[in-house]
Amino acid sequence: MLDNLIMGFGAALTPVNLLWCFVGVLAGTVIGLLPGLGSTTGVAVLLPLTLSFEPLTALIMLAGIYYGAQYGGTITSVLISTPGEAASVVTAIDGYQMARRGRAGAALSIAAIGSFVAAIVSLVLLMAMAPPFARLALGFGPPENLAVMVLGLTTIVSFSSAGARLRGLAMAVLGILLATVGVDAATGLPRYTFGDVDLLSGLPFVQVMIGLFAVGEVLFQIRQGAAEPIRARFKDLMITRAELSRSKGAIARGSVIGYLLGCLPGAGSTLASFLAYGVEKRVSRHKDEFGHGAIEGVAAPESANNAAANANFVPTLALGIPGGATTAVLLGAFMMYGIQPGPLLFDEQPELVWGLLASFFIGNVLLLVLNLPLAPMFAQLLRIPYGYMYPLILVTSFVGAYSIDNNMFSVWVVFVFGLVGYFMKKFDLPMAPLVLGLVVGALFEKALVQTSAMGGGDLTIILTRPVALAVFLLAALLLAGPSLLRLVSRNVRHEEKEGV
Amino acid sequence: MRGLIRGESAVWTLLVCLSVAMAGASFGYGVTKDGGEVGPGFLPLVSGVALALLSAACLLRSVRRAAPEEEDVDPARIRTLWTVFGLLLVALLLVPLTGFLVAFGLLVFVVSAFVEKRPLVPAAGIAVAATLVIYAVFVLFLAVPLPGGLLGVGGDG
Repeated sequence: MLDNLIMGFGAALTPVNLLWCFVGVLAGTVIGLLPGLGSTTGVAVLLPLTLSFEPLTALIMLAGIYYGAQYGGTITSVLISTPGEAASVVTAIDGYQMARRGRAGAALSIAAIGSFVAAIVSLVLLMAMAPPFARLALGFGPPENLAVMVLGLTTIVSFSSAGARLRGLAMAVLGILLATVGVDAATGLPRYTFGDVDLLSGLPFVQVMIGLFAVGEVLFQIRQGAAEPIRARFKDLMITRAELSRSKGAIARGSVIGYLLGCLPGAGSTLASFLAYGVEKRVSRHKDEFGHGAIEGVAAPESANNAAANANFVPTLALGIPGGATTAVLLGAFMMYGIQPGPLLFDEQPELVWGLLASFFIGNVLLLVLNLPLAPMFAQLLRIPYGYMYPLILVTSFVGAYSIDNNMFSVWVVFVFGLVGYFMKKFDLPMAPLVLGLVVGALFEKALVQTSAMGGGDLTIILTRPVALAVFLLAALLLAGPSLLRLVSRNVRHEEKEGV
Repeated sequence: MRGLIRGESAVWTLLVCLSVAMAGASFGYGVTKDGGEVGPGFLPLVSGVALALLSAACLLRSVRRAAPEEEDVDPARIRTLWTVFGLLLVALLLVPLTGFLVAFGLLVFVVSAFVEKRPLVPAAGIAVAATLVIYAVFVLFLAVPLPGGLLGVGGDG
């Protein structure tokens, strides 16, 4: 691993890559802190700018936007209680209360420190675990790949309430259904194209993302109206020794929870941050302060979402199955550069993989240096009236979409999916399952066709493959488990009541 | 809120119709191949049927749900939202005529100055600056041939 790491740093530390890494983390921080924009939007909108870059340089910049946005999202959560990133939603609970008590700077500082520690811990684990994971995945055949994709799709919806789970499942299936638009890879037969040449290669993935995440989010923010930010000053950035000591455990637990959840295909940083917050609320000695400005309530979810963001690259790089919405867009970027993520990537493109991983270290150091002293300065961006900001975001989204394929079809796709994204936000329909379904749809169908061919048309061949069967059972358990648990506990309570 | 529930029911109804139509069309692609293997219509059929069932279940839930408390959204913001959406459509329709840069530059100006009622001079300044930056980055740096329209302002000439 050490040799690979040295090779990676050699590739990442060139002046060009360093420059774009800096641009990526800076842009990511700004994107993360703007309400209505998040890492997925940022990566999707800025992806077209990287098309003329070397693949490693482009991926370094896009990954920089991804984890930079995790830092930036915290600033809006703390100062205006409006998370720029879904993963920072839970940070808003205690972060905003700290800001109202004049401790905005301390909340931002502990978030930056926690994020940095979690990022470094998770990166070391990522580097240690991804290659063996990839080697393991090399033995996977179509049935196992099919099972892992089903696991990813169920994981992304399984940790929500029963109603939300149903909606999430519907969105995941809709994603798969939409992925069938275009020419069938196995037979060359066009499906749902209505004679339109532009639809032959399917719904353009990045343009759909720009529509859903950028235009849809902006339209939703217009509906909500912008909030007034709380001022954060440089002198407030100092955290007390007591605050630091209270945060240590929270950062450690958040990092571990974030890493473990981030490794699951389909489980994104948002889930990790909520779970870390929940755990911290249970184990903290200051339970009463949660919801009223507990520093652990900022440290734990921030550490978790950064650890998960890095761990998301384990399934993305090793299996070619994205960990969450942003890694799904990044997966699309890999494919646009002609690179197929998956078990073979570590052997076929070692310089690219290890260069990218090494750039994460560099990017996180840059982010700490940028965020600790400059968070209040970044926060000034929140004072720019949204009435100026959102028309610019809209124009950038449309011009970015046009530049991918140089055609107006892309622009209309953004327009239509912008409307779809707005209604999804309005009716609280989760976007991540739709994105994951759309991204893995083609791979899913390929694995399905190959599995069917292996069994001579008999899909029950899956039952004869222990790994695939185990993964399918895990997926079923994740999906049905919460409802079964609720049913059992309701019965137990009922019996107890009757017993009394 | 009743309106919101009606809207949500409409979304699920639309999804039921879409999935049924796509599942129906899948038979034309061949659900199975000779020998019983999975054909090009198999996944559209299975996912279409699954989506129809899930959407129907969600539709039932949304119809049965008791009306929760009123939504706190300013009607003026909703008007702004649909105005911006309409202006976006106008900008897109203007592209063949004025070109991409002019259409979207105008969009930035009109939205900032008239929809969001920001002062005219800064709004115009921001619109011009944004157009120039987009021209520099996309047309000059990335060599993207943005449609120039009848005016020929862009990168496709």
